[in-house]
Formats: sequence, C-alpha cells, structure tokens
Amino acid sequence: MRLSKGDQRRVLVEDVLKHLHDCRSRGVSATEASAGGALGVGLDRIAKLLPELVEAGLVERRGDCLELTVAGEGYALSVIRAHRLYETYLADRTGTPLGEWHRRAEVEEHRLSPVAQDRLADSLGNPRFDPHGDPIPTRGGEVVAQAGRPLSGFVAGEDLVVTHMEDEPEEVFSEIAKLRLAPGMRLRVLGCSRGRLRVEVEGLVQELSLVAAERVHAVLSPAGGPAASQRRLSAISLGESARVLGISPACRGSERTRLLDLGVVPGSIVEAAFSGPLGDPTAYRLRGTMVGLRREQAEQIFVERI
Amino acid sequence: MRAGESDAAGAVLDAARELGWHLPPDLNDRITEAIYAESSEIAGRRIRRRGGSLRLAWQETLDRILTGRWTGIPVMLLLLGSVLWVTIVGANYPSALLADLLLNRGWHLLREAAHAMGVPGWLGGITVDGMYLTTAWVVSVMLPPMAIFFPIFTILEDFGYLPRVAFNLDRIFKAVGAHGKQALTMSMGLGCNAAGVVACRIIDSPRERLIAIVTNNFALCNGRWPTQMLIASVFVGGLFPPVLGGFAAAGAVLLVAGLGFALAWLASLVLSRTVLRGEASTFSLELPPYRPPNILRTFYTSIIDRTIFVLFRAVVFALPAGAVIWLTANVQVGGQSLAYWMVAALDGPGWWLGLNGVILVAYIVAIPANEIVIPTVLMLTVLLTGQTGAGPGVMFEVDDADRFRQILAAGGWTALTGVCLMIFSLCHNPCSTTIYTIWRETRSAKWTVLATLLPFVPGVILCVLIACVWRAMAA
Repeated sequence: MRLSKGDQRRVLVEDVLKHLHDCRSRGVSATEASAGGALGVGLDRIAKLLPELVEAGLVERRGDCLELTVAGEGYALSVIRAHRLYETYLADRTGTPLGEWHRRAEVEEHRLSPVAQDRLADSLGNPRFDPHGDPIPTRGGEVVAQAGRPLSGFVAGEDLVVTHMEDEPEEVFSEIAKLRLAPGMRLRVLGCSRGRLRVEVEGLVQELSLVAAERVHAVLSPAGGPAASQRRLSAISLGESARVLGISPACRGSERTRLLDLGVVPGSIVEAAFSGPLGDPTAYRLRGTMVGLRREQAEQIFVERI
Repeated sequence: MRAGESDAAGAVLDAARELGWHLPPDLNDRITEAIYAESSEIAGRRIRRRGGSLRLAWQETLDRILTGRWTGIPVMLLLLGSVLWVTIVGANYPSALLADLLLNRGWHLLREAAHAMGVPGWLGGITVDGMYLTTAWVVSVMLPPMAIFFPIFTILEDFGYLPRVAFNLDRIFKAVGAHGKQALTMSMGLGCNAAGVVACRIIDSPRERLIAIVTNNFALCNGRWPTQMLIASVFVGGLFPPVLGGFAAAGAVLLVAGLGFALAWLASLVLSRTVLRGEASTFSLELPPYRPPNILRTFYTSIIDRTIFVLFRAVVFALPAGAVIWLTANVQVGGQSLAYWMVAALDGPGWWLGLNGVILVAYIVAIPANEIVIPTVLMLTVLLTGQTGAGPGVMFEVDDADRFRQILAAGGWTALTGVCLMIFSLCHNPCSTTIYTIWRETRSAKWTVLATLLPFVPGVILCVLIACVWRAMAA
C-alpha cells in the first residue's frame, strides 16, 4: 500500500522516536548518524526532520547526542505498545507463522491509535508480555525493566527460565523459532562444543548456535530445572503411558485451545496407542478418546513418565 | 464518594498494578488449565465408564488392520477402488433407465408437444433441444453415480473409517504443508468436486483449508470417469491386442486418476511455498470409536445434503448452457454456424495441445458439467463433418464403440487425440458448479480464479509435451 506524504513523515517520526528509546534502554547515546543507520534513511532526511521534533518538544539536543523528552518518551512507548500488542494478537488469534509477526507489527504499529490499542488490549485480556517476552507498556506508559541475560553467559549445569527472545535479525530469529522456545520455559545448560550450545529444554535436548544463544535471555530458575522424569509426549514409545504436566508456552492461540479442549491438561493420563503406516502421526488415548497428533504437536506437550 | 475512599481505592489499584508485574507471564493459561483440570477431576469422580473390554479389544484389532504399517494403505486402496467400481458399474442401470425416460421419451414427447402447439422452430430448438435436453442429460448421467457414491461414502464416515484414512495419509500431506483431511476431501472429490470443496469445511485451519479447496479439482470426479473410460477403451485399448485391450484401458484410467493425486500433491507443495506460505499449523484428529452406521441418517445426509444440493446447482447452470450449446450450432454468421467459426479459431491452439478445435469448443460451452462434454463433441463433430447425428445443436450419444470411433475418425481423431483428451479432461477448469461452490466457500474472487486456472498449468504443459514427443516419434 502506498502511504501519503503526511503518513510517510509520521512513520519516520515514530521510527526515530523508537530508535531513541531503544538507545536509551540499551544505555548508548543516539545521534543523527545512528538514527539514519538504524532506520536505513539518508542523513539529509533525518537532519531536516530533527528541528521539527525539537520544535514539537519531543526531542532534545545535548551536543551531538539526541535525547527523548518526557512527551517524546510517551509517544515512543505508545508506538512500542502498539507493536507488542499487535504481535500478541498475531500469535494468539491468527495462524500467522511466527517469522512474520515482527514484519507485520512494524507496519501496524503506525496505524493503531491509542483508542484502538486499548480495545485490542482489552480483547486480548490485557497481556503484560508479548510473545517474545518483551513487556508491553501499560495504558499509563509504565514499563517494567527487562530481566535476564544472554544464554551464552551461563555455565553448564545451571537451571534457567527463558525470559526473552530477540526477534531481530530475522535469520537468527528463525533458528530460535525452529526450536520453539518461549518465555517461561525451563532449561538446563548441558555444555558447549564446537560453537554450539547444548541445552535441555523441558525434557528435550536441543542445540543452538552461539549467535542464537546470544539473543535468548534467561534468569536463574528459582524452582530448579526440568525434572529427570520429564519428557515431551513425542518421546513416549508406543504402549507407554505418561502424565501430562502442561502445554508448552510456545503453543498459543487456537492450537493451544484445541489441545485443552481435547483434555490435554495437567494430571491427564495419556497413552501412546499406535502410529500410522507412515510412522506419523501417532494416536494417543486420552480421557477415553483417541486423538491423532503429529510429532510437532506431541512435542509441545510436556509429560512425566509414570 | 469521599476523598479518603477514593484515595484508598486508588492505592489498591496502584498496588494491584504493581503486583501484576510479579505474576508469571503465562497466568491466563495457568488459570485456564487449572479450570480444565479441576472440572475434569470433578467429572472423573462422578462418571463411571462402561468400557467393555471385549469391545475395546475388537476396536483395537480393527485399528491394527486399518492403520497397520503393511495393511493400512492396501486396505484403503482396496476399499476406495471397490466404492468406485460399485458406483460406476451400479450407476449404469439407473442411468440407462433415466436416459430412456428423460432423453428418449421425455424429449420426443416435448418435441411433439411443441410442434402440436405451433411453437416456432427456433424457440422449440432453444428450449427443448437446448435447455431441456442438456439439463435432462446432466440429471440422468449425474444423479445415479452420486446417489450411489455418497451414501457409501457417508456409511464409511459414520462407521468411523474416514478419519483413519486421514490419519494414514497425513504424513504425505504434511510434507507439502497440507492437512491429512485433504485425503478425505479429495476422495469426496472423486464423487463430485463441488461436494469435495464443501467437504473442505472439516479442515479447521484456514491455510490448509484453502490448499484443499484450490487443489480439489485434481480429484477425477464422477462426471469425468465415463469420459476417461470411453476414450481409454476406444483409443488406448485399441493400441493393444483385443485380449489386453480391456486391461490396458482400465490401467490407463487408473493412471490418470493417480496422476491427479500426484498433481494435487505437487500443487499443494507449490501453493504452500508461494501464495499460501506457512508452516503446517494446528493438526489434531479425533479417531472416534468404530460403531455400526446409522443407515437412515446416512441416507438422509448423503441424499439431501450432498446429492440433491449438488444436482440442484448443476441444473441451474445446465439450463442456460443448453441454450448456448443449441445457439452455437444454429446461429449462422457469414453462411456458417457460430460453432464453425469457434472451432476454426481454436483449431490452432488445439493442434498444439494434441487436441482439436471441437474439443476446446466443447469444453467451453459444456462448462456446467463434465458429463456433457462427450455428447457435445459428438454433436459438433457430426455437424462439421456432415455426418448424420441428431440434428444441429442436439446432443447425442452412441452405444456402439465402432460407430463412436468412426464418427471421431472422420473428425480427424487419432490415438494422440485420445491420450491428450484424457489428460486435458483431468487438468482443465472445474465445472461451473464447482467454481461457484469455491466462491461460496472462500468468498474470494482471487482464490476462485486461482482454483479455476491452476489445473491448466499442468494440463497445457503435459498435453503439449505429449503431442510434441508423439509427433516426433511418429515422424
């Protein structure tokens, strides 16, 4: 869709404010050059825009550095709120593949008015975190600090909880997306070899590159790591039974509701009954019914052996 | 409200807001799960299951056969093959009866009545020879197979077998980002593509559902089986010694039907890599216990919901098409019929496809139903080659294979024409009933157009390739 000149200008203003906010939260100083570089816009356009932003009381100059005013901060938070709310909406209400959330939210963040944001927040049950674990600014513009540090900074044997996944750059995020990690998942660092980090995530051993591990944030788990008896349902062999512990936080929206409807709730006993002639899917006996699940789906269900 | 109270309320709200950040991020899910777990626990305490172990064992044995590693797929092919065989063979008798009633007696009666009432020739032509005859043709050829196929299909569904088919084949469809239930909608498409498209409602994820709708036309429908069998027995069977002819013809038809499934698979792959990009999303398939089918309800749903519904739509489209078919053969432009000019214009492209202008014109005017393609081809061929048929614009059929061959040979048909027609009959636009149904189901012009034009891509490529290779080898 082509934007009108006025809209194009507004989008640029909002992107500059977002960049300044980003710099502040990372504790680095923002300049005209850093804004131009981050947004991929010519310096002349930034230079032309800045006096207007200063005039409007959104930005202050401190020497070469640019800083947000209180009003500018509020505006930036409102755009960020729109972005994170929209990503939550895509994750929970649509079947949009997660690789596309960020790109779509980048467009939609400039379209959602504060009123529309509030309506969206209400319809989503006022979520506090987006699907990547980023806190969503409240109506009043409050936002909590991000907890956690990169996964690559922890040592073998530590039990962690994922708090946040960086959704940029896209190639790195697609690696994280494939592992179906999500904030709230418990993991244990097993070790690092040949540039790859081995972790046990809720009963499943996975590997990720150090670049990706750099972009997954976690904190030490207060309640310990995954129990030794914990497995994913996909790892249960035919004829065996297991007790459901829960559904992965990475499984959201209609997929999650469907599993809940089928009776995949903590405490349910599930038995792997038989698999199809081609090996997948597998039929599980659950609460007196038989349900066929693909491997990827069964992997989203945490169970313990009994 | 007094000032002190509002302060207190404000403080509570502030405290709640502050504490809210300390709750686990997945609180909503945890509450939902706790509710589900609690309610199932309460239900579990009060409900006693009457699980006869004998019944359970019987179910398990059945599942072991119907979804077994070595037995699952052969049993499925055998069952589907039998359903088709019963449909095709069984439909012959009622079809012949209906044809005699509607096409022979009904048509003659109406003609005489029109004549007796002094209806002008052109009006009688459009209404009786065009509209009535075409509609009657569609009904008599379409109704019996559907009235046999759909009840059997619904019985299998009611028995609990169909979900197992989806279960067995899901892996194949998962590989191309589609849903296992597409195996069912395609099998339904073997009966009728319009019904197959409606059946896509059983797929609950929207992306996979669209893939199933767009590719359903690759399932060779009942309207095309007779064409395939006739052409195969006359042209493919004719290439072999008489003893082997029948088997060769049957093999060729099965090959075309199999090609249809392969193309549907390939098209699904292309779609989920391009316009319908995405991961295979939610999949869960309930495998209900086997149970004796409810015959009465089966007949009701299959006859009313599927057969009558589809037939009604087909009739609505056949009426105007009948008029068009009659008009193309009877309206004279520059001393020749409209059909003549259309055929002349399409003879060039037809040659490249290994076909001819008559076939292409027949596919254009016979868009309401694939059943009337062959009768239209015959009518146009005799019209343009000056043989005796039933009259200009009047469709007819011949029972005798030799006579059929003679008529078409006069129209310049060879074995190549037959083979390419079989491919083209598989890979061309869906009939108008199906196109309309696709629009009704998707409410989108974009997907309707895509579903309509997509089959031509493999169709044109295959036909041109076969024609080129065939001619090069012949030369």
